[in-house]
Amino acid sequence: MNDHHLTSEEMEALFSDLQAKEPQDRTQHLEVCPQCSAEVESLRGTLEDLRTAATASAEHHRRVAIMPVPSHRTPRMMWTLLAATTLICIAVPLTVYQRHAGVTVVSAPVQPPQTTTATITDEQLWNSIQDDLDSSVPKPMLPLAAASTDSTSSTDNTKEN
Amino acid sequence: MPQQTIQSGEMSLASEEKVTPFDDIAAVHALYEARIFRFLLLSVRDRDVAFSLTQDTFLNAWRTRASFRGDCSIATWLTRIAVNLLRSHTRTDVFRFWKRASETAVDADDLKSWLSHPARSAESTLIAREQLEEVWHTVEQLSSLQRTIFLLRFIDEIGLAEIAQVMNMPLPTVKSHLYRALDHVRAGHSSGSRKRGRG
Repeated sequence: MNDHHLTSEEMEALFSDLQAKEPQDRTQHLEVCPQCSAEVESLRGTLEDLRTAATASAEHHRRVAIMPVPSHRTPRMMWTLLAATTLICIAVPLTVYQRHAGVTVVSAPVQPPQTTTATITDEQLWNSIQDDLDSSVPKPMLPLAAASTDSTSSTDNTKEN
Repeated sequence: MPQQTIQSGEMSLASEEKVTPFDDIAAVHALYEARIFRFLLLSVRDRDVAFSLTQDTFLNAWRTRASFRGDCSIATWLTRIAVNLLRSHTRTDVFRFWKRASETAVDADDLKSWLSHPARSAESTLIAREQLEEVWHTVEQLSSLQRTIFLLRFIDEIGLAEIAQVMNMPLPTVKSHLYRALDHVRAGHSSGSRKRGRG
């Protein structure tokens, strides 16, 4: 029995809870075979480590799955900020446009006085044209001193001259 | 008089309904959720999928509670449902893609980080981590049947007869799968030890 090493079946039986009932030939083999003894010890330790690590890891993942980290808050905040910015971008130009529209409506009644001033200037322009036509020398070509005097008197003087 | 007849009929129906442990599903869930989740997590290696399958396991247990005859333990019954859900899940091609692509996947590094080292030297901790990684890689390469039986035997520490019940298989078949799985694990473990011996 000691000639061959332990099979997987024998090793599984050693790992199981039936260790107390394990046959003597296996334990005797472990005593005389350092290779199998080392393998059983090492594999038993590794399987125990695997069980411990798996249990701890699974517990951690279970907690995370039950109570997920509130990672959705950042995207939600981003969406809120984006919506607020979009609203501001739409609302501000609309408000400015409405204000400008209101000024034009208010300033409309002020226009009649501007029309009167326009007629006055037209009359003045007409008079100046008449004066220019009446005078032999055009008004812009008159000396500065003569130009500063009254236009009617200057025309009279030229006629007398 | 007719009302009395209806009431008595309802009473007899209620008394005929079996009282199963799964009627108090909240208590069962509190007791066995961690165990079922651990088995499913190590099988599918994805947290979200494992959590979803765990919820489905308890939902199915509650739905089919009338068929629970008490001929096996609650844990065995739940694990059998979990194994069936796992089989139907791993059949789909979607699983094959997502098990690689998911960010919540569990790998050897994740397991290594949870390895306790209470009274170990730094060298022995390093060796233990390497051995754990080797064993886990070997377990990952096993066939789904061998992996399931290996996990049930060595992580959940379920006896062979109970595994046969869970897997709905004859005991010799279960043994055959388990010993083949253990052969692979031993081979990987021995080659790793030899490499370390040379180094």
